[in-house]
Amino acid sequence: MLDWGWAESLLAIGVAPQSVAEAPLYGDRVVVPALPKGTIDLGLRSWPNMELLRSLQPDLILSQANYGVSQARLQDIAPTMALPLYTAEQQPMRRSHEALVAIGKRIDRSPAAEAFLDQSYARLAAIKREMSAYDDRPLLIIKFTDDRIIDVYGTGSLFNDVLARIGITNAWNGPTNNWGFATAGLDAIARHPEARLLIIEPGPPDAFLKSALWRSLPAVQRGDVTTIPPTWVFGAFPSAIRFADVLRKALGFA
Amino acid sequence: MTPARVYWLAMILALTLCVLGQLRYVAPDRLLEAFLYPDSTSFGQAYVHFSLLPRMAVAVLAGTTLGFTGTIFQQILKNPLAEPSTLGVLSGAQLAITIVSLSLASVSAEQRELAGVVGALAAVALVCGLSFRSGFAPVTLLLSGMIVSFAAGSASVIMALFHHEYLRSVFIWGSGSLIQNDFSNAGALWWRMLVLVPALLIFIRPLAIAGLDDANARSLGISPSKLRLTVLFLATVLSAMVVARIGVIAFIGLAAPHIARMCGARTLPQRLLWGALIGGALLLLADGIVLVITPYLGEVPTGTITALAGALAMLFMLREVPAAPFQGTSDSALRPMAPITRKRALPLLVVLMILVVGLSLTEHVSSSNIDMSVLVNGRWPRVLTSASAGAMLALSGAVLQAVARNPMASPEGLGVSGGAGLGIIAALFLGGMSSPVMPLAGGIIGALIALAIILFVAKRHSFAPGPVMLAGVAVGALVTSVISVIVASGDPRATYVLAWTMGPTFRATGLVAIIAALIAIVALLLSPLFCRWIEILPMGDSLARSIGVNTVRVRATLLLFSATLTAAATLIVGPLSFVGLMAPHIARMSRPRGPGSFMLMSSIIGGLLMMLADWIGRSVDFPYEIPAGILASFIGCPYFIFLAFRQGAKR
Repeated sequence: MLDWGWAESLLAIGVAPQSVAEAPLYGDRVVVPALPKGTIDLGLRSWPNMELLRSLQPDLILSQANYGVSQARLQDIAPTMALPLYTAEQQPMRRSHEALVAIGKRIDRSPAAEAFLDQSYARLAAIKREMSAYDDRPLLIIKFTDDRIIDVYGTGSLFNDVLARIGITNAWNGPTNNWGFATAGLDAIARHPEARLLIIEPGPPDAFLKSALWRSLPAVQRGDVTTIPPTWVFGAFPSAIRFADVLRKALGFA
Repeated sequence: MTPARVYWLAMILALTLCVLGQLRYVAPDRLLEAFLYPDSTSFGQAYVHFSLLPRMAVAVLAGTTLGFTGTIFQQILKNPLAEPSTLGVLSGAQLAITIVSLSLASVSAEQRELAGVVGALAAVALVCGLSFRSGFAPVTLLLSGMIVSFAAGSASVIMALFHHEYLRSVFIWGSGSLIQNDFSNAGALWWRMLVLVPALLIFIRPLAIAGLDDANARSLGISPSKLRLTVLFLATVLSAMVVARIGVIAFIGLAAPHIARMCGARTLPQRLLWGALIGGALLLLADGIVLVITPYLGEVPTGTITALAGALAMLFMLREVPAAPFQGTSDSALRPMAPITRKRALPLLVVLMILVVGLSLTEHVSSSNIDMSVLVNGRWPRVLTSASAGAMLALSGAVLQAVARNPMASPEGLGVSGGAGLGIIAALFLGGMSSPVMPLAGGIIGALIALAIILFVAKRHSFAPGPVMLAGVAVGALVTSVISVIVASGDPRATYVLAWTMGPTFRATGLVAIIAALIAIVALLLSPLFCRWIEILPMGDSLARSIGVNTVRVRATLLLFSATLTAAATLIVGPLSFVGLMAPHIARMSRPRGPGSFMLMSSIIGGLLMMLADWIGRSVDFPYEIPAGILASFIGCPYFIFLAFRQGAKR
């Protein structure tokens, strides 16, 4: 398992991966669904240990297409599925849906995959219904890299697709990279004065939250700032559902 | 043009750009209001007041400091190319700050500053220690600075590879963004300047005298070495504080004093004044440009702009470097030193080679349940590739050290490695990573462009080695800044780029291995043709010419030969390694019979070193792999330092 998105997808349909690249970091970043104890660490995601992989003799290798080791080299070790997720088409949600179906089919777990998808869409639909009570403020999803530079998630990010699903507008309409985010200074936030800020933790230091600059932001003046716990921003379907759930809670829908 | 006129011109241009940038946030009639009494409910006004104003202040203060310390470094080391970045201040501070950021949960500005100052002092102490014996000769000093920067840089890169998500803020800092949130940095810088600048000014008079010559200074009752050390210490502390607060801003300290001098600032006080003022104006100008282009290009760190401009400026300024700076050191280093007699050396090497190849192929402590044939099948490409790359670098180094008449010369310093690295990065981002063809082509094109630039510079200096190495330093600085921008961008491909530039031998396929081996063998077969040249060149140009050797053409040929080998090896093991430096030295210890056997032995040793690095790299942190190239540079840097000290001690 060379990609965390596929690891969580596999867990979602009730199969535990034997080994995952950077397994310890997965616990910090993706958090849930948690990997079972004893999952073997394969080394870097972009650069897994090929000999270890070979010695583990996996039944199937799952990797993200166009990231890390090429499919041809993995195929040499064990049957490999290199599935696209973050691509130039910028539709990670659709890609992760297709991947779940493909993985389910490949490991004879189609019913579980279908069930998980049905359940997830039902959940999204339910959240969408609840969101009709939302005040319709567009959201600006940001992650602080330090107290000066932020990543803003827009078109092509998993979270953008989720927002579209549950009927909330993403305030960020600027250009984004393949992975669906743009890097900008604080002034980018001010260019969307109507937006509510959604900060993915860890946020900036407290001292910064007290600064005159931060307090002059329109959203901050209105008190329109919400934080959500760490959520994997480059994930697959389960991360999308998790994001929808934490967002719902963060917006005050108990 | 007088320095004053240049200063005002740059300043007016910079201020115009800054105001243009500010007018994006407030209406023209409200600008003054935003400066003085911002309306805290208007983000535009608050942004101009609390972010853009301090940003201007920081740009001017930091630029002034860098210009000022740059002038002092150049004066005290009598070296037109000395400045914080070429002396290792930036990389030393960067490494220390990286370590602190990883070991503490949250780092305050003061802790960061302290770490930066300590790291910078250590780096400068090392660089000056290395070049002390040569009397701070320009090229030795810069090469020492380059090596120390490489060492610190490679350590930072390894940490970044394994913690890149935690270290993004460090990399943003490293790329030199001037974005501010309040006046705290501007205030801190101002206070530090208020104390340290007058302290340094006290030394102006003695410095001006010391600038004449040491004997003169001594006759006036000043101890030149104590004076130097004090000033060096204070200037390092001051520039490290700027670096720690603001980030890596390269080349302002180089360009500003140079412009001041070019415009006619002659005496030291004049140069200090105008160097400092022009430094401030230049950085403000760079930042004004960033401010104006941001809406169109996205956030570009100001440090990147200065590094880019600076690398070009450095190539331009090479005209100033004396054409034959390599002297004196050659004799003692090229003389054989160690006890192993040459009769036993070659068989010993062959036995070692067989041993390492065998063990490296079959060792299976951490992957015990693989069939031996499968293990060997998976490993032979990387082992063969490492050996070939090591041999190519070593051969290239052996040739280069003879051409340069300097035992510190190394192919990594040619800049061809850096050029290849840039090409590989560009290819990765343009063409994706699925096939190895694009990066390979990109690497070759990058190497060729770097080679063209370097040959162009070299030609103007009739292929004197000093300027060629310095051109390499400039290209290297460019690569570093591009890499730090990529990591700071947060693109998940960053680890991939980092890994690639560090020489991941694990990617090697059978085909790559065979091609690499073929290139190495062809090069070795060609090398006997160069024996005579290699013997003659170190004896000096006049002697060579007197026996009918066209030194310019010979140098060009040898440079092309070693640059081609460097490019090929870089594609495999990345731009950092130092095998090209180490292997020829070790070979020399065994007193080779002549240039032919010297080149052969260098190659074998280079191959051995690289295979060992590959083996260690894949074993120590299993299942994570440390790239062979960067591991080799870890071994190489201490070796270089040891070498330089021993050389000094022999005098």
